[in-house]
Amino acid sequence: MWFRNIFSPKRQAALPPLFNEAFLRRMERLSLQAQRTLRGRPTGGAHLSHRLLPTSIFSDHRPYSIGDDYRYVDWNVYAHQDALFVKLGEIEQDVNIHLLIDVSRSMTWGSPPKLRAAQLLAGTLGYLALAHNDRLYVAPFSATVQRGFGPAHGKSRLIEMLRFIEQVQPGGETNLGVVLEEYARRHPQGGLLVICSDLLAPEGLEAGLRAYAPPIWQVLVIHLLDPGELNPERLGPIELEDVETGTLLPLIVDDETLAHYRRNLAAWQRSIESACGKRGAACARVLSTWPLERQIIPYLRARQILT
Amino acid sequence: MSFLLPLGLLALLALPIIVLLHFLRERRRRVPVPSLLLWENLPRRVDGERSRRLPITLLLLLHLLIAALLGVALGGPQIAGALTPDARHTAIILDTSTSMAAIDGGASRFEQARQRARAIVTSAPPGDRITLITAGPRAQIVASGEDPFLINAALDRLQPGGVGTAINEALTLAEAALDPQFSRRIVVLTDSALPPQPARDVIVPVEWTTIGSNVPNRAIIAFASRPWGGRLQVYARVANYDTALFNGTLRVFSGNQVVAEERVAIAPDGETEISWTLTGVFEALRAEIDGRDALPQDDVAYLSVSQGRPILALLVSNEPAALRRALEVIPGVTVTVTTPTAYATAPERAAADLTIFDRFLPDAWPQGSTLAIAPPPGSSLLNVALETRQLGPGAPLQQRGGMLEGIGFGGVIFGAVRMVETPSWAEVQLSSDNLPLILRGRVDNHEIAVWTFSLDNSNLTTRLAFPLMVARTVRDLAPPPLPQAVRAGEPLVIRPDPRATALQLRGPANQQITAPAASVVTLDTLTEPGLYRVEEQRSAATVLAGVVGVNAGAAIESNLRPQSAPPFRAPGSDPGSATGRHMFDLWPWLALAALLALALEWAYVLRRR
Repeated sequence: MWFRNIFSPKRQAALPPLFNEAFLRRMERLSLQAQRTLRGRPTGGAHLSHRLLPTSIFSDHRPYSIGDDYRYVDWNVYAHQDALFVKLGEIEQDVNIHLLIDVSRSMTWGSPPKLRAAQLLAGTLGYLALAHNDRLYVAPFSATVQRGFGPAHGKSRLIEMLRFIEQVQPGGETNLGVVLEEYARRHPQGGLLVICSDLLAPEGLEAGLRAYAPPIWQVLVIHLLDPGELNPERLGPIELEDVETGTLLPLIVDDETLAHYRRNLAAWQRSIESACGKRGAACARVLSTWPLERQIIPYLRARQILT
Repeated sequence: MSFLLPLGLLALLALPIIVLLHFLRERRRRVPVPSLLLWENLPRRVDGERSRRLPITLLLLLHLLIAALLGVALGGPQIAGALTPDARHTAIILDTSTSMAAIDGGASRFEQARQRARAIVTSAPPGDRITLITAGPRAQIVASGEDPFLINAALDRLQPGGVGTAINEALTLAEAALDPQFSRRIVVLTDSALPPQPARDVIVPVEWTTIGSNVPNRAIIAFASRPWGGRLQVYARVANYDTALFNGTLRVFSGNQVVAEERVAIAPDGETEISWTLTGVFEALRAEIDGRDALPQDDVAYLSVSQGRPILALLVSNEPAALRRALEVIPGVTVTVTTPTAYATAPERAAADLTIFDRFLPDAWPQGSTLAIAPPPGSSLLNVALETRQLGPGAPLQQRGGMLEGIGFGGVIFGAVRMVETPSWAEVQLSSDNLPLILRGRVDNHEIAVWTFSLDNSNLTTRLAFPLMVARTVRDLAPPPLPQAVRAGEPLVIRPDPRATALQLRGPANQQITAPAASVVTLDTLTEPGLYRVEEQRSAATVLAGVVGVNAGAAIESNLRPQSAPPFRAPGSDPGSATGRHMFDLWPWLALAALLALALEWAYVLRRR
């Protein structure tokens, strides 16, 4: 009835669940492209290492030295040359996968919120890490690094990891430089770092990335954007309110203002790419409205972040 | 269009307030953004354009429309509807004063006025409404409605009589009675024999019709008497409202016997005064002049002569000498003395009009009036303290009320004064520093006065104030005598004996008027000149019988020359009466439109969310 329609509270459009099992199984055939320079443990994992160790898979020799395993002595060479050589080969290792999720209030903006896209990406990448026997660390952050998940190893931790990602709570302001420095101090062993953030911090990205120098670290910055940020509407005289700080900015948003805005946006994106380039980090710009399987995954594969 | 309540239009002040609110709201519309990082260092054109432009939105227009509709509705707008010349409401004001009884042109002025009123009633088409108002000494609505038979029946019952024409009251009544839904008018049918009237504002057109012409008249406009040394002085004033000298004879009758006669010659528009000194005992007198004029009613005047109301005073005292002397000198007072011990068996107790208790109080107030002097303590009628208070010479006195007005108490020493608590039914007439000295009040029909001081301890009895106080108190307690005469239509105010239960009047045409006795009885229906016999009755026994004369002659009534109609101002200020249209209220439609606009605004807002 009409009055029920009038007085009933406005219903929020229900969002679909973040993860579904069929999708994750389809993702299983993918893996994160980790650099060989990363140091892992040769006890397991599927990532090739640049280090050559005595192994049954032959690729080179070196003279035997005391203590080497007799199993890797190349007895054929000893028969021909009467000298002991040990067979060297490439090993497969696991790596540390660090997922940093920006949960500041700016990530709640957009439709759908950018935080949802970040959660979806982190869940997908975390699933790949656990499925490929990597050690996974998940850490939400805003002004500081919050209590995280991990280290986790193996698919048995999958449900726990997905639940953690689903339950992160947004809040606080972004302080990217401090967060990155603090996180690097906590994890000196390095690994593959994936930052899911809108990077809406006035400064700190370049300084923060300074602590993530290769070859110990491999950094992937996933820059999340909402289409409304790329193409804001012509709103007329308004007061802009920063959702993180509450700061008000009276403004007339007309064509001239929008032109200036777009120039600022382009400069900002260039500065991010420049900071990432300087510190050897890969940067991928992802729109929060993109469908994950049909648009984000192909995009990351094209950027050789996923293989 | 007109407004019933123009003050309600002040609600339209909400319009600029709404514009201001929208302007402020527009200034403050906030749009959240994830960060101001990208919005900084932009060209800031904020104040200039914003202050110049008001955003014209549908919401603003709807709000303005709603406020305007409600604001105008609060003003009570009315609009003239279709012309309805047939639907009229006519107020006929008919002068019923005595002058309308004058024969003028073969018939009385009142009869001519009645015929005109009847013509208006008869010619009114069905649906017209008539209100009939009489303007005599008082204005009164006697009939109202659309039924001509009802109005004509009321017209048939009317008779002229009464001094004075309350024309202003009648106009006010007419304006109030006329229905604004009709085309309104007021028709005044009068002989215009009125004192000059001031200009008057009216809201409907007034048709003033003067009936009659300039006819001569002679009248006895004053007739009075007073006792004078065992004889009776009689006074009369006769007026000649004519342009010719009048020669005639003024005779005074007692019954059918002429007791005085005088030839009078009165100049044109002049008056003459005649007085006689008569010997003998008369109950009533009648003066007649052979006026031979158009209004015979004012050629006769009536007067009641023996109007004294005898007072039987019962003095209950052990030392009655001083009080007795003071009472006996009051005309009409008969004093009987008894002692407090013999009071219960005194034969005069029931018949006494006034009982004076000196230092004594019975268990109940007597039937007539009562004066209690120095009431003793222990009585159930008054709360009296045992102790007394001495009031020496020069004590400040506070006097209230009119009973003792003009009496000087200088040099009076009241001595020992009883401390009497003022009862709720009494008022203090004289006091000294909150100590009551004289109280006056009424319990049921009992008129009561209390003197709290004792005459023994006071020097009052040796002072001139004493007999004056006694006489004033007796006159105040006892009912006043009937008036000698009143003008026709003038209210006759009678304060009957407190023991009377009914009042009966018998008029000159033997008509009878009966009214229940009260503390004051007012009769305002005596319009026919003549002698009226008044009887105050108690259980079929007559307590008092007297006569009152009712006279038609008066200076303001007997001059039959028509005067000009009073000027009326701004009859066109009422658009309904000017155009003869029905007035329709617009506010319900405006309120409905506002409600619809409100619903539209509601739907719009819900849709935008």
